[in-house]
Amino acid sequence: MKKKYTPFQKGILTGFGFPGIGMSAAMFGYGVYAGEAGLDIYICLASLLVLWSMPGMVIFVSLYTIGAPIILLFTTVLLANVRQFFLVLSGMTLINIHSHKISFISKLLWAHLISPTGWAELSKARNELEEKELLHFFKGLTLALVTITSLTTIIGYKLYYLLPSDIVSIPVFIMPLYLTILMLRAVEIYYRVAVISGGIICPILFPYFGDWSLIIAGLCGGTLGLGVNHFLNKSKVNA
Amino acid sequence: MLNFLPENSDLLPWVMLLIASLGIFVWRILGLVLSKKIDKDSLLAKWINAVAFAMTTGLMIRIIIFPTGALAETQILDRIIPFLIGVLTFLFFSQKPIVGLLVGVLAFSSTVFYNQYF
Repeated sequence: MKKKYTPFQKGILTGFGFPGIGMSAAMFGYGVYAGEAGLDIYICLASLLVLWSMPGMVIFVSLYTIGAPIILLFTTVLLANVRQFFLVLSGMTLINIHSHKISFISKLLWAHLISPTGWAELSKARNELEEKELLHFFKGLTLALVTITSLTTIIGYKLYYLLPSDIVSIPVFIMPLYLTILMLRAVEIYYRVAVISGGIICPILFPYFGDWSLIIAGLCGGTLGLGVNHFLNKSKVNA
Repeated sequence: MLNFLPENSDLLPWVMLLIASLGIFVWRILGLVLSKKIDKDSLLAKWINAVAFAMTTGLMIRIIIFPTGALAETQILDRIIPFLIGVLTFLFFSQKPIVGLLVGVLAFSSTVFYNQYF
């Protein structure tokens, strides 16, 4: 008989599966980077938990080690993380966080723990769970992700020099492939169009616009997706 | 760097971390606060989700084409071809996405081992 898991348990199991492996592989790389940059291990771990955003973490280490002014650090992190706004807005709307009777600080904690991986799993789980269960799922998921990534960051910090970088690249490869497949599983036409156009636009613009290419690709892809959906619906009505 | 802290202060990295976290928290608080105003079934909510879908995919493709860290040590074709193999396998076996993932990772691992040992 198939065992029935609670949403929280389901979140934990999901977090320790491929999403956790992919994300922790990336954090392993971050641990290495922080170790090589001479960052203290406590700062390294704290930056993972406090920033919870790979671009933010990498910028922090890079600018801290060269002794950049704080205004430059703040501005660079701010501009490189505009995507957090859309992920949090989307994730919190999916969970319908404001329907849960929890404090603003708790809501902020869950908003803080939204990552591309967490958001992608959340958007997948909304087809399998009821809306009120999504927060419990997300709690389990983030608990697993925080645990596994903290461990691998420390391992990366301590052990990287023992492994050839080619071998390390294998687990790092999992996350982009896994999340792309997850995105392609979207059923609605506007999400599919958004996924394909976002995947094409971003790498084309990246050499010219850097991190802004992500925002441009997101805005163009999302708008194009809804536009195509609107056009198709209109055609159906006219037919 | 900071007028009120000496250059070698033990507190300096923590202050820098706090400053960096503020740069991210601005967006998270804004996202949280604005999510209260949005009906999840509205056109705006769909658009925001579609933007997030496009951005996440864009980010993943960017990691494959313009990687940093360990992935950057590999050749671009060694990343793109296994990635495409994985995606195409998924499109053929869309009911079992794990197949696409495993085939893609296996293809990438094979190129890594081939380049390493042959």
